[in-house]
Amino acid sequence: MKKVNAVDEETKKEEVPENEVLIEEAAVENKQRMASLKDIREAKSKYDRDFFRRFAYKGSFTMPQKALEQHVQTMSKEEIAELTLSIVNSAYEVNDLIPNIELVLFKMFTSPMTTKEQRRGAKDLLEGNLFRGVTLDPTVYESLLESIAMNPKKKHFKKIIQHIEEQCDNLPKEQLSRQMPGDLIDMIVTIGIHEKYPVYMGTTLKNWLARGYDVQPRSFKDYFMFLERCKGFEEDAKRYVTLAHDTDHIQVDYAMLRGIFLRSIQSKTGPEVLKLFEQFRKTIKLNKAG
Amino acid sequence: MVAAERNDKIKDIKIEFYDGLIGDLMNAKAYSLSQIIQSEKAREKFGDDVKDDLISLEIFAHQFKLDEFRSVWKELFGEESNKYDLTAFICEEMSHNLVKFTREDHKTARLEMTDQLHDQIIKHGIFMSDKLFYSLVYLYTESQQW
Repeated sequence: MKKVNAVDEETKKEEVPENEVLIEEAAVENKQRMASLKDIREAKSKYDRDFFRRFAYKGSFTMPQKALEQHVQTMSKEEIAELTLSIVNSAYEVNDLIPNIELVLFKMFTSPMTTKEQRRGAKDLLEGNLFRGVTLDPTVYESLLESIAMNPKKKHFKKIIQHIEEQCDNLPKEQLSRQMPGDLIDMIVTIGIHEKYPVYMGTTLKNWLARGYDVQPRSFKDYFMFLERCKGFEEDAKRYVTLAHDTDHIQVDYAMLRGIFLRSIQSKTGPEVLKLFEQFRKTIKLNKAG
Repeated sequence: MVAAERNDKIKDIKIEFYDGLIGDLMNAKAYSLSQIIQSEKAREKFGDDVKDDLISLEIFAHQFKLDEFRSVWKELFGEESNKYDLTAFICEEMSHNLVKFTREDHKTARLEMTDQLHDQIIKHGIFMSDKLFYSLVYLYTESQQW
């Protein structure tokens, strides 16, 4: 009887730390969510309807976008960050004052009216950008990406990516995954694939993998599957897979490669399938974490 | 991670890679390719697994390769000793694959192997499931020289 109890105690001891880790993780996640909600509440109370009323179109020649841009130029970086957070969370509340304010924000970001002259002919994509150096909330990037998905333009897409890189490249890993969550990266990859930017998306993703961005395995897989579909990039796609070895969260396995194999089985000859098998067999090794 | 753990992990990933590919090739009825991949897997020496032998049986059965089929069959319960503990599942798979040899010139060998299987089932007291029963009845009736 005693022995049985002893075994029970042992199993209990093993189980407790695992549960504790889960509880701790959930608590951290909850804390972050609460902090984010608090930030949104604060931003919305600071920049409320009364604030936006000042920029509403009242029959004068000043457009809401231009008026907002002029105001942004007088604000500090922290204030701009708060304003953008309020904008993306107040679209419905202020729609009667400034219709589609998220689109206004997108236009302020990509083609600001007040810095048109400064931007003309500039090589730097973020030249004259009103939000340069401002740490924007992930939800703000999400809003910008949603807007670009509605009306895609490569130059604007590149501007958003460059802004993200300028703000995130030097962040420590933990902060990086909070500032640029995997879902947001997935959204970027999805837009890049949909708009068919194989080269640009490839270099961006390669850079992000090297810098430790939280690129999710599914985004990585979607990208190289897309690359393999692009004419002339088939071999690049196979080489691209090896980038996963230098990460600590993406493992090359059959689940990841299955799509390429299925496509190859359906549309290629036996020797070609075998060649693919040989190529990938060599690339299967543990990632950095392993 | 210690070296042994790393080795186990990479081994699992490789096994999953081979099995996944073989499964997809089998679904696409690319049996000769499956056979090549299966032999490549065998060369990696991951260790004995009854699943591998059963897949080999299926690959050979689909291609009517009776000699190769028979050699795997013998491995599964050879003349010397049984490689694995015989279970109802193994017997079901063996008989199910044997049914695939439908050619006239395979009849004698098929009947002989059915007898062998039947003896083993009796010897090991294996439960005769409906699937196994159906396969055996089919094999006996269809292998008769009328």
